[in-house]
Amino acid sequence: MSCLKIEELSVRYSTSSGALTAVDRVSLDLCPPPSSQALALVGETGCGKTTLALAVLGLLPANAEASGRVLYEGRNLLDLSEREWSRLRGDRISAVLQNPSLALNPVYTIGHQIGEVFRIHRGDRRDDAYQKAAALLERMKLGDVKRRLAMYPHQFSEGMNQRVLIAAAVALKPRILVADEPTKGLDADLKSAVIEELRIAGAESETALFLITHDLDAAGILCGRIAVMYAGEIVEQAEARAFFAEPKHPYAQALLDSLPERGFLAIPGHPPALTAPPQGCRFHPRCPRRMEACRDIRPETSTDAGWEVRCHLYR
Amino acid sequence: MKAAGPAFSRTGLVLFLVFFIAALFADILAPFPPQERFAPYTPPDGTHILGTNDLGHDILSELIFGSRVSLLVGFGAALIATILGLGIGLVSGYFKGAADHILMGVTDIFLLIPRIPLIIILAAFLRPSSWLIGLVIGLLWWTSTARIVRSRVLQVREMDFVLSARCLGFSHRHIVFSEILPNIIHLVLPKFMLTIATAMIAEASLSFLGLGDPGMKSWGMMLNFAFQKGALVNGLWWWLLPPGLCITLIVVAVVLIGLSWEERETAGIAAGG
Amino acid sequence: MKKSLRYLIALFVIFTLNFFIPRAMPGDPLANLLGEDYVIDEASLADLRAELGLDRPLPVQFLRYWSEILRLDLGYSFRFHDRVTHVIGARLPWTLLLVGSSILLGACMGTLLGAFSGWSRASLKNRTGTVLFLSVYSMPPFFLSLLLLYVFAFRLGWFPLKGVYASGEWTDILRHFFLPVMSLTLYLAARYYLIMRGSVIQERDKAYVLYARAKGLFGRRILFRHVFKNASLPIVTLIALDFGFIFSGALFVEIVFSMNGLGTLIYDALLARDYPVLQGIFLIITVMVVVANAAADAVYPLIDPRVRKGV
Repeated sequence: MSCLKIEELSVRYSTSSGALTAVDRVSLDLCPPPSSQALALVGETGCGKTTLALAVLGLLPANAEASGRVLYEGRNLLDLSEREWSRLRGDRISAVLQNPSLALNPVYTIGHQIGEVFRIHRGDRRDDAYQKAAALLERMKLGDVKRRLAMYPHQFSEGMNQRVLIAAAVALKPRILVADEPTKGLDADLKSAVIEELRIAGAESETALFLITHDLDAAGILCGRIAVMYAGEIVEQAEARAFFAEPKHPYAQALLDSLPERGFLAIPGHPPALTAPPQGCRFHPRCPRRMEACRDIRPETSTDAGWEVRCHLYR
Repeated sequence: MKAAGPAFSRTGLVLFLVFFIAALFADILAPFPPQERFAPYTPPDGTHILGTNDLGHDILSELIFGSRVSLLVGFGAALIATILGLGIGLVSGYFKGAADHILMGVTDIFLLIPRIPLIIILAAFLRPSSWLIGLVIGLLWWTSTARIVRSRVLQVREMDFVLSARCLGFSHRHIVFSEILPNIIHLVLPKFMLTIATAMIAEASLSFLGLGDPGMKSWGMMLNFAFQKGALVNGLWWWLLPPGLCITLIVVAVVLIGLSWEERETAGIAAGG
Repeated sequence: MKKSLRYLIALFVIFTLNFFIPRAMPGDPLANLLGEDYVIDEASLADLRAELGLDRPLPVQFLRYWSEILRLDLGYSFRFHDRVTHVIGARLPWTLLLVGSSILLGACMGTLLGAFSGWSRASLKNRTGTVLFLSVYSMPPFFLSLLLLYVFAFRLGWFPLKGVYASGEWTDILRHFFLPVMSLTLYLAARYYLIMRGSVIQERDKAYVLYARAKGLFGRRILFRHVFKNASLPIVTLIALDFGFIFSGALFVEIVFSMNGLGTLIYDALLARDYPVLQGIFLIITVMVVVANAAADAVYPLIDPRVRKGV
């Protein structure tokens, strides 16, 4: 059972302006198919999504402190040493991070960098690794593979580099693939290509996709479950189709209403500063359906047939 | 260079202050007038803490007075170099076009000139003096300052507030002094410090060759005499080591100050713009 | 193509400057051209003046100068009783040996240690190393040489006090060269240590380092497989740009260690006011600096794929 179980995960940053809780007691389950489905984590910029992604990968910066449990194959990943982490990362738990062109080293070829995962985790020699990298690119149908392997990141577009990163990430058929904003800043056609890559990755390699995005379309296409994050908390978690049909949490509703096809309505106000979140329900200052209780009492999560909501309306 | 830390800059300032005070109050602090003669070649003892040299001068007094020359020449040379570099960088970066091409061409040529050998030649033709050395160092060491000033000016001149000043029809002179200069001055100050460091090393090295003033002995000149008069082969460490250590310490001080200013500057750019 | 033109122009300008210096300086032009260490009777003086073309107009002298340069004739030294080119040529190899070996050793030592220092977090070892190298960096190269000479040759007697060789055997040469090479090496190592350290500190916050960790690399493997190449790129061009500065440092080291290279030559020529030799050395060093810069321009695209043409 190679599931990733996040239990009561909190991440605190110590900054010059005080302590900042970016992730506040989040619980999520991520299991690879066929027992479960891909999970999308959606939310606005700054709600703590990326921090959560980094925590799950053990890549938090030095001034961050994580508490809680991230359970994988019986161990709490938060307790792992860097050496133990290095064995998991890239092999069992992979990642596709933001800024693909910057994520690649400018002075090494694409072939070298993709082949690296084979050299690290399978002990392959340079030539074998290069061959395997070639095979990967062939499958992605990226044209003249031989030529492209010998090229450098600055010669490729952002989208191409993103697809290269995905190739490297799924090369060893990981159990978990964390994708942080993979479609950010891409044109429509590249977006579709990337989404397709991720879909194939999930289908072919029995990889559990953990998609972190504010792109609701991608989330809907790729994932069977949606989790909504706001100000460091998970406010709603449900099966995708049902969620898109009728979200329960007012923030989730507002989020869907803000989509161009659904009305393009902006949500009034802005997200709270994570150094001093509002009392009670964190969304209440902007919520059209707030009640008395919402101001003072933090709502607990109520679960109903797999549908979680953190809102006083649904107790 | 990051991670220098506040301890470094404090140490630098303290060290620098020590030498600055020594230079300023040399007359009071030096135990004897540097030209007064005592028994030559005396090792350190109660009266002469650093002993005496071949002419019987008290070395400690020479050392304290030497700080004046070393500081003055280093500072003066760096000042000339920085002002030159600032001017050239400004004109080059602000006006661009032909002026930029010509000035950068000149800079390229200056960068290729072997500087110390050139100063040696000039000092060979003219009479040796610390002022000549300082002047020529200043005239040759402006290139790196000019380059960074130029790239920063190229950046700043495209910023919104400058563009709006240009649209509003302010004169070039006004824009350069009021808008651009304030934004490059904190880039120039750390560079000025680091130029003082290289100028001091250059002056010390050239004085070591005997090209400084025999009258106003800088630390480099003291070492010239020490080396010439066999301080090394006779083991007169009290004559050989202190001047060199002083040069090292003051350069360390200046470098620490310069690096900590530079660190603050890059942090400022990263934070603001 | 454009770059080579710039170098040729620079050479032309500097060589022309060299032409004007003796003619612009105060004093007797004859003395300025020949040096002040000669004894010639009155009659020959006039002949000498004519021979040197001092009685001809300036443009003619200029052309004469250039024709001599192009024939690799740098004049005659009265102090050394030989043609300047021979005098310099005899000493140049020793200096090149010193410079070459020091650049190699210093660059390797400096970049490696600087990389380690920049990569590891602040520690006492780190701090001490940086303070030490900072101190060496702040020493004028002649003083560093004096220190090493005093401690290891004079006090401890491990190495000879002067010269490049006594017996000519290679072990003997090694013993003579050890301290001078160590001196210049340490000086350069300190410089490259500080620069590499800063470079690595900058690189380690970049996105590709985080991604390398995400792929499963950790610790020093990331430093050597990814960061090192990126961080050391500026050092390659720096060495070329530094060439003049390195060479000058070598001159001082040679003077302190009384080595048979260009350093002591420049010192003797200075004392004797032997201008032809001084100017000859200046020109030779200039040419080497230009060659070093041109070489760096040629080599850099080979190591940094971002600046390659057609790529």
